Amino acid sequence: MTGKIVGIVVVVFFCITTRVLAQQTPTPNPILRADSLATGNYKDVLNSFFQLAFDRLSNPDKSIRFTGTPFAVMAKLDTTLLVDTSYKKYTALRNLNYMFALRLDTSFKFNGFSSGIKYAIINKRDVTVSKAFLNTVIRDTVVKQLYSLNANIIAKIQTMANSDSLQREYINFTFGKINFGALSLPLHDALLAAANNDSTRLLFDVLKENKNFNMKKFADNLYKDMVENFNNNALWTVGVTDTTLKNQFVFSNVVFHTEFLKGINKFNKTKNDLELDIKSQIQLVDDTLKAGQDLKRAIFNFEPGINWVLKTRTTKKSYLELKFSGGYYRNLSTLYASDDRDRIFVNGTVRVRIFSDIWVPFEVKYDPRNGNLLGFINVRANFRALAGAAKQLL
Amino acid sequence: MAKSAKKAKSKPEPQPEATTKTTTMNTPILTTASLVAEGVDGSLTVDVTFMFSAGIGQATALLFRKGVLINMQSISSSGKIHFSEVQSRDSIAVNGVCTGTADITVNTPTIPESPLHFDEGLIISGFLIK
Repeated sequence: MTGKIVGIVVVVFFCITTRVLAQQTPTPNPILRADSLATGNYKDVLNSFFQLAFDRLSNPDKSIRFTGTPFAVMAKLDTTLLVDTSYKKYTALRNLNYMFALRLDTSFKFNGFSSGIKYAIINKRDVTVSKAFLNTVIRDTVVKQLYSLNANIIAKIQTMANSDSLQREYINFTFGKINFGALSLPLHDALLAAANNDSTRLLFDVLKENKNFNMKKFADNLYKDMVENFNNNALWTVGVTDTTLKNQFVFSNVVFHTEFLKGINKFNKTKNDLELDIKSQIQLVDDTLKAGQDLKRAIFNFEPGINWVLKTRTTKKSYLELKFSGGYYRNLSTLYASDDRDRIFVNGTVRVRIFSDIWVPFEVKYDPRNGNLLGFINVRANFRALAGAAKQLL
Repeated sequence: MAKSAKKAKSKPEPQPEATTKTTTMNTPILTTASLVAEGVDGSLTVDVTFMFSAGIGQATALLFRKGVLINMQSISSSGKIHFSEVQSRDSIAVNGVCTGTADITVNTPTIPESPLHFDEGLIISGFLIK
């Protein structure tokens, strides 16, 4: 009972402190907006910066896990690494995750130590270094129209009376501080005239019919849609995780794992996304019936699943994710009396975003043969550590 | 057969005339004196510096004088674009995109004042040289 109370207190404290830390930044950090558009499932597979996780809260075997990338630490210490010319060179390091975890028993006492590394062999979701993504953006028809309108109006303003104030007003318009309907009459008319040609026909129609047109919001929504589509690209990771015993530095468990993610409704104009998630692992564990420590029991696991991502209409951030998967386990070692060679599970994960960077995944495993139902509740906090670092560059 | 050969020969004749007309019409507008950057008192070399961080980016800067495009240069990583012989009241339009952040600095007084900071997304902006 005391253990459960301590657990609840720790989780509440964890959520509050993370929330308070997040609020120290006066405005939402826009630098890593693409990162915030990523699904919770994706952040669990490959983390861009830091993640603190409290896993299996309701189970006797809990853990506090920290995941990070070496690049996040390096960039914190040397902000010049964030300049694009350096940033591109460290793509491989950003695709590497390391992990440390403390395992805790029911009384929240130390029960072993875990560590691991994971590397993304294929990461086509890293929008920050993708030339292909930049080309997609600048070749977009509507983006071309925005560029064309910008050039036309900048050229026009310099020939108009009061060009200084009109220039300031126009720049405020591009930053979204003024809506189209609130512009002064000369600029309003000049913008309409500048848009009234074949190369900017779509924008002309939008401006004519929408007094509340906000250029910044319009451009941001265009860009967000393209980032969203990009986040459906493939991600394939491989890694190894080990666990030591409580009282000695001997491996009690080694897991070789791989995971593949890919969006399956790319370029669909649907509000919600479907993501294919296939995991596979080989787990080597201690054979407890034999004296001494060994890793002679091998269990193979294959888990194909679909993650359904529900997103908000305007910010396009996922707020709820439902993952359904099947789990096949095969014991590759000598079978003992109570062992099954093959086992099948049906799994479900409900992942709720309670704050911008905090997810609470609730996992359920069902064994149809034995009728066993297992449930796990976790908490994940993703820290966007480069926010402050990037600002220090300015 | 001979008639059609004659017709085919006579058809291309108007083309040089049309080309000459177009050139004649455009020449007065595109004179070096009115549009192309030239060394006059008060002309200066302007650097537009782009710094992309926490991601990559690319941008195009277009220099306008009296409403007409006179120079256009692009950049695909952090660095400078040089415009020579820039005059007061010239304008620079900037179009681009960045996947992290971008800071654009012009090394001469402008409206709006530089540097301008852009978060991840499209870069749509411009400067009027004071």
